Amino acid sequence: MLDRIIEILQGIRDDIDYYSEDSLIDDGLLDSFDIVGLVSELKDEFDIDIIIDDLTPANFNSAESICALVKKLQDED
Amino acid sequence: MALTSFNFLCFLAVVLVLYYIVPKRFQWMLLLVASYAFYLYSGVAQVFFLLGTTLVTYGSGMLMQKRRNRYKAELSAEPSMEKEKKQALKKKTAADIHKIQVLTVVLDLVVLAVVKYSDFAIKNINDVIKALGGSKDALPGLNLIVPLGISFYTFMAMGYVIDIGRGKYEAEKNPAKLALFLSFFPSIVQGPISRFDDVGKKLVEQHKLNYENITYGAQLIMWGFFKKLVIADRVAPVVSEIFSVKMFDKLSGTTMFFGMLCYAVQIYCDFSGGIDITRGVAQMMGIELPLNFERPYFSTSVAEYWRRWHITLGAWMREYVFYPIMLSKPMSKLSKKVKDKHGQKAAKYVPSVITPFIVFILIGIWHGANWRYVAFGLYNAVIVAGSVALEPVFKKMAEKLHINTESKGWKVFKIVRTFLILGISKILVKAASLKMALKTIVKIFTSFNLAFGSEMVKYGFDLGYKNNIVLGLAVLLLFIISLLQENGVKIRESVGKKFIVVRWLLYFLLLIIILVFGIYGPEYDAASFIYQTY
Repeated sequence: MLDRIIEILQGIRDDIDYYSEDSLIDDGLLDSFDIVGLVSELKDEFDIDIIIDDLTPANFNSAESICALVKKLQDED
Repeated sequence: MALTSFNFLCFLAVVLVLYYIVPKRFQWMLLLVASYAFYLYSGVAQVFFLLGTTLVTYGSGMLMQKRRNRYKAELSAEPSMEKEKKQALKKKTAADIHKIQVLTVVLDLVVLAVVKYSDFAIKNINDVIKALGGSKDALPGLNLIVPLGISFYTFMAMGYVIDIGRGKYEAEKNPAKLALFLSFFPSIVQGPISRFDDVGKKLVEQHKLNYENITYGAQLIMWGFFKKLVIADRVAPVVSEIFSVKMFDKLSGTTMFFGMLCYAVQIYCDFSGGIDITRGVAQMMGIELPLNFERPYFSTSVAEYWRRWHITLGAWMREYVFYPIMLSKPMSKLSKKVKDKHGQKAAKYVPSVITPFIVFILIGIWHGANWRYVAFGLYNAVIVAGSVALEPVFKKMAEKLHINTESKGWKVFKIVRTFLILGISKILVKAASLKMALKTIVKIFTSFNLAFGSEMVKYGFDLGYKNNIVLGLAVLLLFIISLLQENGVKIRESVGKKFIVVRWLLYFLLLIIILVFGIYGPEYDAASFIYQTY
């Protein structure tokens, strides 16, 4: 799943090393437009429902944290 | 009581001494009393608006919390509840909470609209009636006094209510603590727009007297005074003359362009200077308020500028307007429709182009009731949405023209370009009317006179040789400090580490600059802040 998420992230911005970067939001590497694009792709790809409450920097700061969020939402379903 | 007035400094001194004398558990209560005393100074009637908003916000928060607690109790009373029943219960709870949330936000908006926008609406209705052949001024204006800081505390109250509705944190049980959050005296005048889970907690914590907080806070206050009194208030009369209706036919477009640059400097120094004072005052009490400016004129795009200018308003809009719209069901449906017809790329761009229009028009209207602000919002939206939509085109163009987009030169070009684009939007804010603003913009591109200084001398609003030098040096100092900060230098920490004599010499130098070169009005009170009126 992590690889697929990184693929999606690279489709949004391809100049970031998503394997090591852990401050995507805190350092402003992804802006709000990127986040919305990412959320809609994650929704389609993994058939999950991401709501506003999930949009915290902690959930989107790294590919791993995004992966953890997706897994958590899949489990909730 | 303006933050730069002598009265405020006396008031602050008394509050600070008492703050560190009273037992620590009473500190927040003292701040509440001080905040209401400060607010009462601006008018007794206005306090009722603040009190009303506080009570409604408190009641709404408690009601939502009670409803959520009932849901939790029902769940724990029946641990083996079937999944379907559980989901139905969850849905019903969410719907009940949503009703309270929406009702409160609508009520907040109605109060804000009546106080701030009713005369604007009545004027426009009168214009329509007149255009249809009716009598002039058919409906009388209400002429209500806009309570101090209503746009700021109402947004903070709405943020709190929405957060409680979303279950982000628990509602505050003590109405007095919520009242302090909404009325905290340094920030009620012009923000920052704080969040309860951040500032609300810091305000009621106990704070020890700390040398660093006092000196860093005092430095920030002095820097704010410097920006406001030495720069903003010095350049203000020039800007007012250049954008006055009576001067329009007399001045060239180049002078107006100069006025645009001056206004960009004035409004930044006025607003960010005020925020520096606010944050400095709070820091002296050990309370850290959120950043509201991060050297916005170094932005390389308009979107970035809005993440660095009035940061807390931008963050509020992102959290409570932008994301909810972007993630809403109608927007998802629209995206899917576009995706089916025009593919993935178009589906991604459509919401990114539509939403900025809603957000920026709201930001425009937040500033005030005038078509100029609507145009200001629209202008920013067109630029932001346009740059999102045209991003691939710009990328290709840069490749074809062999532009090194990583070079310093390109970055400087983008900073200057962004500054000029934003300068145009500031004319919409400053001009006397929308018509005048548009005429001014046209004139800038059509009427030139490089000797624009002589025009200013001719019509008697040139600052004079000495004032021009003071202003030039002050802006240069601001630029150098900002450039250092932009490159990661922490000015206050660096000054703090200097040898004690050097450090205090620097403090006194800044103080003397403010005292000697600051612009003071009658009774040594400075002009009020621009954002105080929003």
